Amino acid sequence: MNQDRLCANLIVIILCTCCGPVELGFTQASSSTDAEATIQQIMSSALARCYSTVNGIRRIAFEPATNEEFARIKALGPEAVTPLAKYLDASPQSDFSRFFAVKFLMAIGGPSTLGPLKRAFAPDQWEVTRAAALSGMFTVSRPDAKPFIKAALVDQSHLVRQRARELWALYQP
Amino acid sequence: MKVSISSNCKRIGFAVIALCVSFAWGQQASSAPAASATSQTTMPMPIRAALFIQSDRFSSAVTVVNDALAATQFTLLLQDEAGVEISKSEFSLNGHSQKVIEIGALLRGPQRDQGTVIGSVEVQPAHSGVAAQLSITYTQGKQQLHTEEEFAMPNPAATAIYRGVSTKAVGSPFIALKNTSKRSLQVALQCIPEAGGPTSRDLRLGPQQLLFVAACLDDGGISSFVRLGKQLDNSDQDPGAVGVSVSSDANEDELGVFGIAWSKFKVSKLSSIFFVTPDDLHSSETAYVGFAQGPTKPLLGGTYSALLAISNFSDTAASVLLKTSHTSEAGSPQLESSSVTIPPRSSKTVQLAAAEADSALRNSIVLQSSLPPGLLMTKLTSVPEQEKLPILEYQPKDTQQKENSGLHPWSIQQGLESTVLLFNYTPEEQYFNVRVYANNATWRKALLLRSMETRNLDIRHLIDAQIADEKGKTLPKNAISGEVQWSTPGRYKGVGRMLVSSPGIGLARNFSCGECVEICGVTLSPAAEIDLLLNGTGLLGDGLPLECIDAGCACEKGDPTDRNGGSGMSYSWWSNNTSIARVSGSTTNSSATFQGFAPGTTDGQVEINDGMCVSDGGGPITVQVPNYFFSPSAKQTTTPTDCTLEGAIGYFLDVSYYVADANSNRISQMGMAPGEDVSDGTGWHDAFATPTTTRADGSFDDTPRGACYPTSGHFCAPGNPQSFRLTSNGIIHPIATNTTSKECTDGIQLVIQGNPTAQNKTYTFGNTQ
Repeated sequence: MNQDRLCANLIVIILCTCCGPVELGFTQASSSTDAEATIQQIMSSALARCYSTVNGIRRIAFEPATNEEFARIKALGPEAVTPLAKYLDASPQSDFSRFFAVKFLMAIGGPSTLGPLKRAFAPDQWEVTRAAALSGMFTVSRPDAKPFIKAALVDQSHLVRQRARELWALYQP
Repeated sequence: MKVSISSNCKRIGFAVIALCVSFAWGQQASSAPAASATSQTTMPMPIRAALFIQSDRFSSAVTVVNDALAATQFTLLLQDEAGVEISKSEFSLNGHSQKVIEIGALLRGPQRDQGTVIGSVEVQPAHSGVAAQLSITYTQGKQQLHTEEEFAMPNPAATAIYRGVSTKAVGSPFIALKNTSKRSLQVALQCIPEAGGPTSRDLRLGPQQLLFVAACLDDGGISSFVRLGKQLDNSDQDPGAVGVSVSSDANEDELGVFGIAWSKFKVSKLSSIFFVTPDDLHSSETAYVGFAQGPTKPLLGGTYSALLAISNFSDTAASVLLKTSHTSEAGSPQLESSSVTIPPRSSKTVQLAAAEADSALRNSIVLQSSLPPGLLMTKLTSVPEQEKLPILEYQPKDTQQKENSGLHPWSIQQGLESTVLLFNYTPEEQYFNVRVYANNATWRKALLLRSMETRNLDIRHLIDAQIADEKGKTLPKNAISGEVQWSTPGRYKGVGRMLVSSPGIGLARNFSCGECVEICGVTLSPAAEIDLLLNGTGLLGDGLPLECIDAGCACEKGDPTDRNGGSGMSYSWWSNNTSIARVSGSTTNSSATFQGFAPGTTDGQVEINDGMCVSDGGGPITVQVPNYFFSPSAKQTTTPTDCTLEGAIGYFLDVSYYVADANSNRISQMGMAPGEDVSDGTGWHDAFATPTTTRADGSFDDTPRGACYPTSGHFCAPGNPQSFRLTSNGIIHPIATNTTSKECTDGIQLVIQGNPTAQNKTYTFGNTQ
């Protein structure tokens, strides 16, 4: 199968899955739709950069979002939280898109991101995403993050355990 | 010249009522600021109460308070009338705690069995900062009468001359004269009653002898006093004020004095005479804080009238200006003024007007006498209309006393209520820094009192309602006793007292001892040291004043009593090397913002002035310039679904980094944003790190680092090279570190370079050939 087409199909599937119908008031719906559209466009661009070709072979590597993409997400503020959260449950699963979502949520910050970050820490997520979610929760609210970090000290993932140990040390006086 | 009478608890001396705080003699006077706080090694002087009474109707108890941070020990000695030691006990006391010792429990069988026992009490503390008060309780059926005797700290350099006033004394006030020397003493007593002429008598005290006599009669000892108490309610006398003067050939440390009387109001009550050493007074102005007047529900549950007994010990008529202040929930304190003239060698009882009185005891008064200090003495008493309620007796306070604090025990055990009362008698608003100690917890609040305002603080309410202090802390819910301290920054700002009351058992105990509480050191918290980036800023502080009890009131170092100062002090910040770091913004707050100007280390300093003394302290400021990223470790991560769904295989890493300066010192700052450029035309990625900015230890992660390929067999390709930079507070710092990599289907190699040679690193996982 043509790798470029496979990748493009995957992105389209993910984006379509994430963007379900919105039943809100006109203003909210319009605003929410704008945010979703913006995020969809940013996610599409960011994911596309993860796919390249080297020596004729397809290369898949995580490439970070640009400063401009982060700035646009941050400009949306809390309005972007719900659309981003949808990527955490998107199917088929794209660990890169979920990780992007967490990174963007962390950039937005604030209490409204705590719920999605907890979701991103769930066992069905990629360990890189889960470790990042721990950091994100810690930044939003140390008290709220504490039980998660404590539990993560004995997590099955070595990476998550290591991140938990680093964060746990920051609780000590 | 104005004159008036007031009492200074600490300096009252061993004579009359006792001083309440121990005194460390022999400390060197110095006006130099205290640079740090250390305890003095001199042993504190003992403190003494001239009289205890123990019988079937009388009981005595000593409340000892440790006002210092550190635990201490003390010895409690009892002597009988002849000066023979009849009990010696050792006790220990935690910092900021209290202990109540029943005298009856210390007396052995023969002493308990001999009927009425009188004697003297001496407390020998191991450290300064120990205060004590003796409570005398008289039980008659179901009713109890109480009065208080503060322990005295004598001044050996002063002649033992004492003056005080008794209110409504029936017959004669009684006086306890305790000779603590090994020689005989000559003592002259003079009484100035409201009705009738002055009387006088001369007495001789044998070595160590305790003499308990009627001050104004030629006979009468303890048996007469006890008998008089039993007959009082049948008395139809309408007694008035009685001034009592005690003079002798002794020094203060040789003669202790305490006065007690049966006072006849509607019914008989037990009352004390608060004797004052005239030489210890600095002004003719006296203040009383928080007296009961008018309806006093719910605290005392009755209606009170305030009686002022005044005695003029001079040969000149005295004019006394009475300035009363009543504070209500809202608005400014209501002020009333009146005056009264007291003829020479006479006494008078004045009932204060109650029109504007506050029901929550927020009533205070300042008396200004036209006579020199010590010639006019007063005593304020609140008398209830309801027979079973207690009278309230108040210690007079010289408004020019050096002591700027109150150090009081509190208790809410067994239905007791504890109420702090504070009064600002100055024309300006003043801070009162209040600290309530209990169960190793401290509740702190700076109360700003308006001119002539009286403020009350209900300790039970603080605990029951879990009222937060200025740091959001509350007292433990199970706290039932402890210590209260209040202090003003600077002298001559205000007075205060503690009322421990239980109207149901006729109890209204007054604690009003104070000390000089002065700054004696500075600590910085929470930011005792800071690391700054070049051109970056950071907060140093707060500067917390360490406070000590200074018995000499002269900026000497005493025993520390609190580590957290309070409000109303002035601050001045500076940098020891302005080429490295400088104060940015205000230099007069409790903390200061410093900005880094050059790499290096210097000290940020603060000087704190509490209006009496000055201390300084500081903390190191290190200015660093980010230079490279050091990687302590890298771990392999699982392969993302983005690869596995396509059947691609590869290697991914989580690479840990922290920020270092050119000297390989770690820069432990949060909020720095690492950026990378991977030469792909998309420019700098200043949020590539996880988390986006550094943690508090200056660390971050680069993850996921690697690639996968949907191909079979071994395949490698170079990864994108990385360059780095760091952004902090809008300032971009170049970073020397850069990486190259080789990403394979079954391995990965990451080369971290550009750092100081020893700090470069190469990670190799799997097959990268």
